[in-house]
Amino acid sequence: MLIAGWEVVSRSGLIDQALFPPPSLVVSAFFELLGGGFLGDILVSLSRVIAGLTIGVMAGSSLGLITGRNPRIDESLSPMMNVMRAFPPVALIPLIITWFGIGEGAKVFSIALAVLFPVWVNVHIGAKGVPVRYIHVAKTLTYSDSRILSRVVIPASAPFIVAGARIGIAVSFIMVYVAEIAGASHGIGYQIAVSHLDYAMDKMIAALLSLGFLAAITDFLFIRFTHRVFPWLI
Amino acid sequence: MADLVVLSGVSVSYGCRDVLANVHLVVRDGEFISIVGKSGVGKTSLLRAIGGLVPFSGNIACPPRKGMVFQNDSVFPWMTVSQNIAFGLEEYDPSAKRRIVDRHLAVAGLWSLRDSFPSELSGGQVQRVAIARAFAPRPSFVLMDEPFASLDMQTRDSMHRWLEEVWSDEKMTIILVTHYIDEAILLSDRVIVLREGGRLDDLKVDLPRPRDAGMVFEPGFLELKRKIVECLGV
Repeated sequence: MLIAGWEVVSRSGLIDQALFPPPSLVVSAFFELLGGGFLGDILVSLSRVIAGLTIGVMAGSSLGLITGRNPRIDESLSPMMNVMRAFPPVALIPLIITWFGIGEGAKVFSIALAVLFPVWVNVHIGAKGVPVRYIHVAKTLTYSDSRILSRVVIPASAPFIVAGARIGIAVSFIMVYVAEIAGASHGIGYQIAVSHLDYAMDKMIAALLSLGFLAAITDFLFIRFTHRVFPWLI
Repeated sequence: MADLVVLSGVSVSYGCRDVLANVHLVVRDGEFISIVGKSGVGKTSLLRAIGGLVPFSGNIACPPRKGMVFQNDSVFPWMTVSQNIAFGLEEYDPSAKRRIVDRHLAVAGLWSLRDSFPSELSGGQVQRVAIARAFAPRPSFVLMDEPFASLDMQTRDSMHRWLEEVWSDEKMTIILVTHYIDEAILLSDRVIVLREGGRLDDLKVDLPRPRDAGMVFEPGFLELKRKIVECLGV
């Protein structure tokens, strides 16, 4: 219905088609992009997202488990983390480019840094809130601290790790876009920037929708993965 | 029967608040004792001190391997019924582990639910899992902190009969904390009334086993209940 309405409005002449191209033109622009190597851009963006997301989730989860379970480290580290997470990660990109250049490392680092903080907050809350009776059950059965971490604390924090990772997926797609328009020669963000400069709204919308669909598909696949690995969360 | 758990001058404080002072208690091997007392008198703290879960002063001599059952929600939601029961069996080889888990599944009437998650079980079934998990590794004794408090009366009655059967078969030492005087009398060999300041009244239960809820109107039961109420000062 929405797409049909969009097509009708766009073709009615009420709005300039160059500014607001109909979906049929967007679809043909998408195939045109594909013919020009857009699949490679998609794969480049996806690889940056996967690398940044993985590093961000791993680092955020580890830090969250440490600060959530160790009051002393929490007291010394969390205030600093809270100040740092208040900085908009998008605003740090020019600084990161200045420091690390426009290579892959800088883009992956930007994404990982932006993902780290929401994951840390979630996992910190989850790890801190693990019911003490779970820990007591393991302690009375003479479990060591490291076994309690792997067998009790991490599984008990899993809903928060998953929630953090899902926020991280959304953040990583925002960040890959910003990182690629700030300085890249490949990627979906780069294609959006180029289409914008060419005033090719159909290609720009096609690339934008591709990014959105890719984010939605990634989130969907992550949910499927979550249900498989953590069936009790369903 | 040999002495299994010996408490000598045990005191527990949280900060500058003393919750338990100078408790002396002996629990013999194979005994089922219940601890009753007014709210805030330190019943749970006493149990946790025996479990090694809170710091205390004084001396507690007891074997290191113990099981613990809490009021509710101590069963791990990320594990199936079988996995929960197997939690304390890490040092066993897989075939021995399976044999023990299967036996406890059968004893607890949970065979058909072995692959279910706790969220799919009733309150009574969840507590059966918690008790089976505590019994499975054959600990020297089991601590129970109001394990049936959240259950309705009918379920509680059936759980009492089941627990008495399991205790009698397993020949396990059990220390139960409860608010319910009837529950304490129906299940125990001795009822310990804990008073403020750590003073104890030790009342032997001379009623024949097996016991059931119908006994609560018998003269012997009522006489003992009257004595416990007197000790409680309510």
